[in-house]
Amino acid sequence: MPFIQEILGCKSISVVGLEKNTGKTECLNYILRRLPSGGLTVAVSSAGTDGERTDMVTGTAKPEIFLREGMLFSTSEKYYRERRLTSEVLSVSRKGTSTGRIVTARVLTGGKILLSGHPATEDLRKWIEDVSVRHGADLSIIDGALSRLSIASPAITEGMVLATGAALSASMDTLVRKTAFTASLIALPSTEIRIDKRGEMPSKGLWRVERDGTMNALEHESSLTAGSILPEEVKGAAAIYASGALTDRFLNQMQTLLVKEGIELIVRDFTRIFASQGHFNAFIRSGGVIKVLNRSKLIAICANPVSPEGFILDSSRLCSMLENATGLPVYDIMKSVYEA
Amino acid sequence: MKLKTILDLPCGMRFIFSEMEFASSFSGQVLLYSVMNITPAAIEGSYDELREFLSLIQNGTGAASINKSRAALMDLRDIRNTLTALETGKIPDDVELFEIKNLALVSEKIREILTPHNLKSVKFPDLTDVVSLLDPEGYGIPSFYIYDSYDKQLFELRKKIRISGDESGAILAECLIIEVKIREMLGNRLKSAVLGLREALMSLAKTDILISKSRLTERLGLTIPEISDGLNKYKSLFNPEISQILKKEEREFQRIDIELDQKIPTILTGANMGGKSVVLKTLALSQFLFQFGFGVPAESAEITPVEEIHYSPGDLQDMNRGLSSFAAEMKMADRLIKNSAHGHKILALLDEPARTTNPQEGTALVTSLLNILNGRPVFLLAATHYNIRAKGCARIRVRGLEEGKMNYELIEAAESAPPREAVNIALSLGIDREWLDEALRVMDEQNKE
Repeated sequence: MPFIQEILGCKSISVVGLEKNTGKTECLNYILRRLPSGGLTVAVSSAGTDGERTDMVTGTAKPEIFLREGMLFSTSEKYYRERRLTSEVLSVSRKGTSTGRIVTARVLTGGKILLSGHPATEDLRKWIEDVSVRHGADLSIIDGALSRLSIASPAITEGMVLATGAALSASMDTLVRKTAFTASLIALPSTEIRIDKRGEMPSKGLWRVERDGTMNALEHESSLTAGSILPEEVKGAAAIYASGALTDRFLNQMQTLLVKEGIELIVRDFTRIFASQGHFNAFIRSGGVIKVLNRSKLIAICANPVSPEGFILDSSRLCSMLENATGLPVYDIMKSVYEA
Repeated sequence: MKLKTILDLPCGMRFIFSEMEFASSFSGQVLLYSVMNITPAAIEGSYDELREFLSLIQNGTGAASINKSRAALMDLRDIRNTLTALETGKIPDDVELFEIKNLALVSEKIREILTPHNLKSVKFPDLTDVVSLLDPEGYGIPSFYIYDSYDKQLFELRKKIRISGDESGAILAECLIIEVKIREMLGNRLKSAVLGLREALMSLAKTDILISKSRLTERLGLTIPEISDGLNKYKSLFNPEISQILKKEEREFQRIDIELDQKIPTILTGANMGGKSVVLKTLALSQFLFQFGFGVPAESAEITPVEEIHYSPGDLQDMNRGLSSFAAEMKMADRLIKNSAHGHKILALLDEPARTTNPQEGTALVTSLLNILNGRPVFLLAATHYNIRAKGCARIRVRGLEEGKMNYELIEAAESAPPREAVNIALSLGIDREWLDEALRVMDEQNKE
C-alpha cells in the first residue's frame, strides 16, 4: 500500500470516518499492520469517545484495535482495565474523562485494546507533543471522531486518512458525492492572515480579524444570532472568525454581509462546517471565501464496500468513482491486493 | 479557620496564593486546607520550619538540593483515595500500583536529596521495601506492569505469546488469572505500608509548601516577625500586591510604620486617597500571613497572635445572606463586642464603620463602640472621617497632601477634628471650581454658626 510511505513522512496522522461502520477501525488496523515493525515508535490514541456505546446497543462488535509489541497507546482507565494485551503504565493524566483518567502505556506483548481518548482538542495536541518528547514516539496516530458530539478535533494532525463506505449510503452516487464534499472541506486552504492569538483561539463568539492579525470581538453571542450584525460592524475587516458551527443559516447571513466586501470567513477547521453541500456551494459560487486555522493534508481515502446491513457495493467501481471525484488515491481495505 | 476560607476576603490572600509556585498542585490543595495557628508555640514552630528552608535556599549546596527536590516533586500526585482503597483491602489495579510506585520513588528520591541536610521540619519514612516490591527488576523508572519476574509461569506464558502468538487468546487468559493473584499478593503486602505511604505523601506536600513559602519570602522581600504579647508593631510595612503593580509602572510603594496596642483602640484619620484602606488591608493580610506561618511584608515586625481576625473593608455587602452594607457592618461589630466580652483575643480592622448612615448617628455608634471595646483584649484600628470623641484612644493620621503630593506617612494626631483636606484633594483632581468654591463658602458659614 503506497500511502503507508506518505504516512511515514508525517509526525502525526488521524484516521477519520465519515459515518459509523464505514470501516474506520479496520482502516486503522490496516495501517497499523503495515507499519514497519522495527526502528519506529508508534503511538495511538483517540479523539474523544466516538460511539462505542451505540455499538454495544446494536450488538456490532466493539471496534478494538490490535497493537504490536513496542507500540504506545493512550486510553481511559476503564478501557485500560479491559485491555487484552500486556502493557506497562508510563503515565496517568491529571484530567479525567467520563471513563476515567487517560493512561499512557507501552505494549509488551501484542493484543487488543479499546481506545477512548482526550476530551478536548488542546489535550489531544498536548498528547501528541507529550508522547513524542517524553516517550519517544516517532508517529502519533489518532482515531478521530467526525461527529458533532466530539469536541476534540482531529484536524490538528499533519496528515489525515478518510474512511468512507456503504454505511454512509446505499446509493453509490450519494456515497461518492458526500465523500467528495467532505474531502473538499478537508482540503480548504488555511488562512494567510497571521492571527495574533495571544495563547489560544477564543472558543466562543464571532470575531473581527484585522489585516495586521489582531482580533476584536463582535457583540454577538454566537453564529446563531449573527442575523443582527450590521454591515458597518464588519466593514474594513480582513476576515471574520467564527468559533462555533457553520450552519446553513449562518452562511446565508454571511453571504450578504461578507462577499461584497471581500471579507474571508475563517473557521477552526473543517469539522466546524455543518452546512449542507447546497448552501456551501452557493456561498462559494457567489464569491465567498472560507478558510481554516488548522488544516491536515488528506493522504488517502479508504472505502469499505460492505454495509452493516449486509449489502455489498461493487468495490472497483466505487474506488474508481471516488478517485475521479476527489483526485486522491482510494483503497478498499477489505481487499488486500495492494503492495505496501 | 482554614486558609481556603480567607482566600476571597479582600485582603489580598489570593494574590499571595497565586504567587506561590508549587511544584505539584496537590501541595496547593494541602495548604488551602491547613488550619490557622493560634498559639505562639504553633506559630514559632511554623517559623522554625520556614527558617530551616530559608537557610537552605540561601546557601549554594542547599539551593542545588532545593532545585533538585522541586524537579522531583513535579511528579507528586494526590493519591489519598488510592491509599484509602488499599487500606480497606481493595485489590489495586495496575494504574493504582503505578501511582503507589511513583509516590514511593519520588519520596525515596527526595529522602536521598534532603538527608545530608539533616532537616528537622520534614521526615521521610523508609520506603525501600515498597520500591523493591513494585520495581522487582530494579529499573528505577516510574512505569509499572505485572512484571515477568513476579512469577515463573507468567514469564513462560508471555514468552510463548511473543514467539508463537496467541490467536485464540487462551494463553492471555491464563496470564490474566496469574496477574490477578499477583495483584492480590501485592495489595496484601502494600497494606502494611499504607501508613508510611501516607506519611510520605504529606511530607512531600509539606516540603513543596515550605520550598514555595521560602522562595516567596525571598521574591517578595518578606520578613519573619517576632512573636509579641500585647503589641503589634510594623516597621516599613508595604502591600506586596500594590507594590508589584506600582513597580510595573516604575513607581515605588511608600512604606509606613505603625504600632497598635492591645486594649487601646486606635483611630486612623486622614484625607481621602491617603491610603487608609490600604493600611487596614495590609494589616489584615499580615496578621493572616503571620498566623499561617508566612513571612510578613515589612522590614521588621512584632506581632501578637490572636484568635479571631475581623476585617471590615469599606463596602461589606453580604449579598449571599441578603444583608446591606450597613447590616453586615452592624453584625460584624456585634460579634466583635460579644466575642471580646468572652475574652477572645481579636484583631479588628474597621474601614469607616457606619459610614453609610447619617453623620450624627454614625459618630455616636462608632464612639460608643470604641468606648465599649476599650480595655478588652482587642487590637482595634478604625479608619474614619467622623469626629470621634472617645476617651483613651490612640490617634494617628495620614500626613496628607504636601505641595500637591500625597505623603502616606502615619503620624500621631491631636485630639481634634480630622484635617479638612477633601476640598484640596478634589481640587488636585481637577473637579469643577465653581462647586468647590461654593463648598468652601458653605463651610465658612457653618464655622460662623
